[in-house]
Amino acid sequence: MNNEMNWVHHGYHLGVYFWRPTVWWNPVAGVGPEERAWLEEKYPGWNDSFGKYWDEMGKNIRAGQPELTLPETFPIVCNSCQLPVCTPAGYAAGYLDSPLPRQLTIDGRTYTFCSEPCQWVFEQTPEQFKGHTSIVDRLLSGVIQPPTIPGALAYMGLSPEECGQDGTDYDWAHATAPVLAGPIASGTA
Amino acid sequence: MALFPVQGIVEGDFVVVLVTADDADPMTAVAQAIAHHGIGTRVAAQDRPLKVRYQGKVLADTATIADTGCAPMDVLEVIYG
Ligand SMILES: [Zn+2]
Repeated sequence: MNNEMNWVHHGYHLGVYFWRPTVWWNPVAGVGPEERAWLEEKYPGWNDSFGKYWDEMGKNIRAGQPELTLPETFPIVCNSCQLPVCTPAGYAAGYLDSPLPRQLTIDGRTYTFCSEPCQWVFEQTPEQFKGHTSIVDRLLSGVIQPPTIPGALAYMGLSPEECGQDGTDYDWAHATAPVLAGPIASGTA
Repeated sequence: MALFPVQGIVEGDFVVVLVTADDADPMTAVAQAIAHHGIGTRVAAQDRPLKVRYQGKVLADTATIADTGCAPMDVLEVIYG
């Protein structure tokens, strides 16, 4: 579990940003040069392991295609904590042996888990949890109509005005690195 | 000929995503369907062919989901071959 302290939150950081329409606040989560320097200092190696995702999103924003930083599908969510399954992040960053999520089949239904603790919690009292359906289960079973991102957002009670948007209107993607000595000249940060 | 939901993982991506494939499509098309949600959005594209891996085995480009015995919501990985 200590292993997860090294990478899970960086994955959730990406997930909250990319799936920002599903949250009810405007994430100020974009990683510009200053944030990148801070993250690299606090988490050595962050640029190599997690900076690359922000590189790709920043590139798309600067190319005038911010829609490529918005979801067209849902993440698989954990049948225990209901959060997106980010095991591929742990694998890509070198902390897990496999990107695959944990899965468990009970009474013909397969459950997916983000982590060993989440599976452990579920297995302690499966009768408490096994009847619950996740947002993804509800998309697939037809409970959510239409089974699309807009349909799911409406199901979640989020009107278009309430859906989260980039909290800085993409300033982070256009920010330039601060000069090391002297005041920051650019007003775009 | 039928829509078929899978859990998709793009090599290098940070998250598992829901992907709707067609069970009659060849793996080249299934790979594209999964890659659509990760490559060029969060993962940089590479000029190499994409392959699909299922339960540790790389599938033939011409195989279909129906051929593989894959169940709905099984995990398919897209990797660069
Ligand atoms: Zn979980």
